Amino acid sequence: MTRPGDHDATRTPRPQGLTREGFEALLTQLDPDRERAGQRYEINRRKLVRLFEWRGCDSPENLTDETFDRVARKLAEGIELRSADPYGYFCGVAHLVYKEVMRRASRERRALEGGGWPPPECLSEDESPYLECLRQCLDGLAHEERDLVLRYHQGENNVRNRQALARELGIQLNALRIRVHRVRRKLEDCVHGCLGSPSRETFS
Amino acid sequence: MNENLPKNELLRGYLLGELAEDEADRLERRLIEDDEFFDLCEAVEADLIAAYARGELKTDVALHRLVSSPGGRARLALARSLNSVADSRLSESRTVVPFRRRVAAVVRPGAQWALAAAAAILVLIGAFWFTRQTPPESGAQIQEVKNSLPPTSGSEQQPGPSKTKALDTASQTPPDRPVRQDERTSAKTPKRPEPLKAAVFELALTTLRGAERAEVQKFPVPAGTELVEIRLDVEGYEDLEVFHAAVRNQESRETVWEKGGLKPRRLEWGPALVLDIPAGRLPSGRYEVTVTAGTTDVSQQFEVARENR
Repeated sequence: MTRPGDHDATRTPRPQGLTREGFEALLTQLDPDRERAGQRYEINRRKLVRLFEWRGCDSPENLTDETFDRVARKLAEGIELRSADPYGYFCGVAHLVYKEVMRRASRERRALEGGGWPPPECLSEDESPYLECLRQCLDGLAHEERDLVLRYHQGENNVRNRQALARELGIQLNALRIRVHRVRRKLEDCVHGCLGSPSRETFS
Repeated sequence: MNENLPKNELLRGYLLGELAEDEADRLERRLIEDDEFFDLCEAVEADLIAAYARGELKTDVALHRLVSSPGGRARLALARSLNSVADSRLSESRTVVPFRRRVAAVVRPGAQWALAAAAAILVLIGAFWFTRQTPPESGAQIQEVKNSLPPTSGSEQQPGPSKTKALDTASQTPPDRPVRQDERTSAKTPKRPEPLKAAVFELALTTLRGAERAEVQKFPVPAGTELVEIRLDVEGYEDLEVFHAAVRNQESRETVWEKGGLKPRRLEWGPALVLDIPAGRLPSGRYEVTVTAGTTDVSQQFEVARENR
């Protein structure tokens, strides 16, 4: 799945530490077509970053780069990804990277599991610039998208609202979740741009 | 991976660190391979963060981890702002419709009886005059007219819509059919039993177990409550058809209520199991409701806070 207009194969950033040859070999394994391979690379990279985040890792982007680096080195040694399961190899290497990180950080994890954590502080104490940017970005959405995302977020204990909204649209609740989330991603990118901070899609 | 579990429940368990290692590994493989499944995972994460931003979830290690990373803090800020904008839009769109008493539909009891008495007197006078004027064989018609009068002794009707409807009927038109004598004499309608005073709770079920559940809802039970109605959201489990439910006191570990053969009902917001529990079985404390169907076993904890007068 790619969003229209969000990829240019000539500008796919190469992870640091990965040689050009290794990177090209990696792209070739993802797809024979260079453009599609670049798209898959970016999608998979984003997914791995999120998986490392969800696993609670501190430097998800660095760990993702490490994963791609290892896969590319293996490809340079002659290993070929099975066409039936090209992504399983990425997953396997990512798990190895994760386990190594966890072993190193095991003492830190025990401290983390002590509990009693207060709610995290907001991104910035004064949220009004964020709110202002969000309002501008909402105004930039199509009416249906704006209505959808705001109705989805309305009200306390809003599970019932969401179920009613899904029934109104004639779709399942999970399909509604995905639809709303795609609008949220647009808003997130727009707000980051408005605030002048890098979008989550920009690689370092 | 348990394919019978709703996908959002599985993903929620994964995000909150509740899945076994091998299950999480298999799920991550699917996340890499399946773009739509990945989108759903991000959507479930966003919903968790939005609920956390509203204070609907208590902070625990897993949630803290989700919202503490730089990306997580940005997502939390987005959720807070979206909640704020959405709620302000909701409050702007609400219009208060002033309540207006429908005076015309309510007839004062005294006036109703006075009207009925006046009508009865007129009919009696008319009947008397009629018998003086007409042949004896019309006597049966007079009895029928008399029988068609609304009951003047009346029933001890309670205030409310039912009484309103009865008053309208009495003051406007007689019944469509002659009322038999036995019906008139037993015109006092049996007193409808008062509905039990009930407190209604709604819960979503989860496959997650253990002390690290993200949320325990607290339900106040007003003094005088006789019945606690627990409505369990079973969306995604409807194909299981028949359920067994049990409620256990978490402190004493005692099962305070259970019932089998339960079938989901279609409520306005979706399919639900409705448990009717005598309030006396739920003193203040923490409970766990467990629902079983086949090999599926889901549960949820909740807390009851009995209110004193």
